[in-house]
Amino acid sequence: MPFILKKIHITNFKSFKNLTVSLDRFNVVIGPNASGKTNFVEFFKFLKKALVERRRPYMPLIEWWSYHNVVWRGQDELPIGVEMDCEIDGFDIKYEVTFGAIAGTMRILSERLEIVNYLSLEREGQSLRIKHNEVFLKDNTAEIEKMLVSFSRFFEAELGKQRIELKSLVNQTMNVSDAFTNLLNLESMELPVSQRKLSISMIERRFARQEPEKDTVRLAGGIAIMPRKRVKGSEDYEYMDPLSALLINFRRAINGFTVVKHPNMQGMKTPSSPQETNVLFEDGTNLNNILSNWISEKQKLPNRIEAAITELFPNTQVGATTTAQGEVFVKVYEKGLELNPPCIADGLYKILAVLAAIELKPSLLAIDEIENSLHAKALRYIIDELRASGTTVVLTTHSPVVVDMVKLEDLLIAEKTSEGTTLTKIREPEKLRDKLAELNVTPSEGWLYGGLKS
Amino acid sequence: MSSSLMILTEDTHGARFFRQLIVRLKDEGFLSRDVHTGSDRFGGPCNSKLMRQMKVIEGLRGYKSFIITADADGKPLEKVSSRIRIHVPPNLVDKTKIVIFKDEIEEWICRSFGIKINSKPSTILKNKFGYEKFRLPDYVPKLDFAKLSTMKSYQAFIKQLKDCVSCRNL
Repeated sequence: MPFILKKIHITNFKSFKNLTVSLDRFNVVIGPNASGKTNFVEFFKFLKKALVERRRPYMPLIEWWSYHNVVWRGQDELPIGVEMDCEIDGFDIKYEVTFGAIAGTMRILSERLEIVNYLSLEREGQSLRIKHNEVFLKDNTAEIEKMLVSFSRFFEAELGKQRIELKSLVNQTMNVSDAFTNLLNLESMELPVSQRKLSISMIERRFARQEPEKDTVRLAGGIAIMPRKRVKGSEDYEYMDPLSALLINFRRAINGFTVVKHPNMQGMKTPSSPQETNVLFEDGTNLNNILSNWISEKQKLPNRIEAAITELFPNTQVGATTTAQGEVFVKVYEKGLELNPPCIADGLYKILAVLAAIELKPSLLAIDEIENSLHAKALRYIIDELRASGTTVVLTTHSPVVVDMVKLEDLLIAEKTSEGTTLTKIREPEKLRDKLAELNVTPSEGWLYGGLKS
Repeated sequence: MSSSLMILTEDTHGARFFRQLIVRLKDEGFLSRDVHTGSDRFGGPCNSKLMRQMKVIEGLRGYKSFIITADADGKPLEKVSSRIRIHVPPNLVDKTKIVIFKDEIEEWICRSFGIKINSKPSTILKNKFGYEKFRLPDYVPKLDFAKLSTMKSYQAFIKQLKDCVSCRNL
């Protein structure tokens, strides 16, 4: 599921009134206290909770108490908007969603998902529009006409229309049921004997089961045509229609957003009941489970973690063990000396947590105040590991040490203005680098003394 | 006093790679075991911290010569080199050699395996072997010095190694 988040536009979320930011693979947010750095990290958590954490009742804001605490200046009447440009499985995607407070509960007001060059899905209330790109339809007229004819009987049975005109695919409107949650949960069904080059799918009007014990009533509603292509690293496209595979992988990508804030050292050092887990918790308290699962599966920790331990903690081995009650915890052997959690350094836990987060291959990894608990040498190692991970990484830091370890191109400078937090890149990093060199000052000195501006 | 050499690279895994390489060169008798060697990460081209770092390594840790390696990432090699050179302390200029990789150090691995380099070497390795950067030192035993001898970056590295410390022909 290759996913790259390229650009985000946020409106009315916490200190972001109107923020547009282009992301690279490795991003380091710097700025003074209360400038909005942590809000940027929290934004990814908000999006994940709002779109994919499907708990019932739907209460994505529980940790923020209410909509009032996530909307710009507590103005409940304002909508929170998000626009993302991303690439998933080789498709360029533009996704827009607007949230609002209705009777004290946050709801999705509108949504638009565009698969660039092919089709877009637009939802407002209970109305869903499916729009195909006219150029795409024109370029594939013969193949699409053939498909529409071959499925005429099916269309008659499902849609009550024997003949579907190609031009009607430019803009189809259908009603969706109350059970509908968001576009990422939309389901489609591929019609059999599709062509090799294109797929044709029916989009269903009822997308989710309101009550688990009752069968979902599936009602055909619209037609979606997509190119069929092989996607390296995603087998879903082999047995699913491309639209479903893409939406599922988009949902997985959002669900794969991993946020690490301040690790709860006490919690990490407390033995935990075994459980399956594939995302590191924000406070790291499921680290015991993650490590012990790896060890019980492969009798060793992943190579990435072993390599880091060898480099940063010579003569030290990390393992996991079980209490008499069956709870698991991390154990360290230092030159043969057995160390239980209360004797293990906080820095080692932090390193294990960050490396575990990388190893779990998140679609995006946001870490608040990366420098906490870490010695400069360990920090260097971790930063190099994060940069090389291939994941989109967003770090925040107060540390001049970190500023000097990364490239000027990586920096996003947070500033709080009357119009909200801005996150800006250094416009001419090469020029600034030359200037800093000429003055014989470091990037962190440039930053601390106010000379590092966008 | 025996000679000493510090190799500075742009990232931690590069430093680990060169540490392993030096071990291999010593094990295979290409480099004297008497040469005191180390490797470390520096902040990359055009970072004035390099000067402070080199002063500490020379003044407090006793290293007498340096090799600094960096990736050109498509930029002119000489430009990258000069951006490093300006931060070398004046008293260490003659004792410091700079080696620039056209792409990145992984080009040595590709060449050793006989893989044609038609894109970023680390990406080629990732696609072929699921390579990840932390595995870089694991590839030291697989380096084929004979195949590398035609590569400019390798030639430059060996030349600098010879200039810095006594080294048998590779």
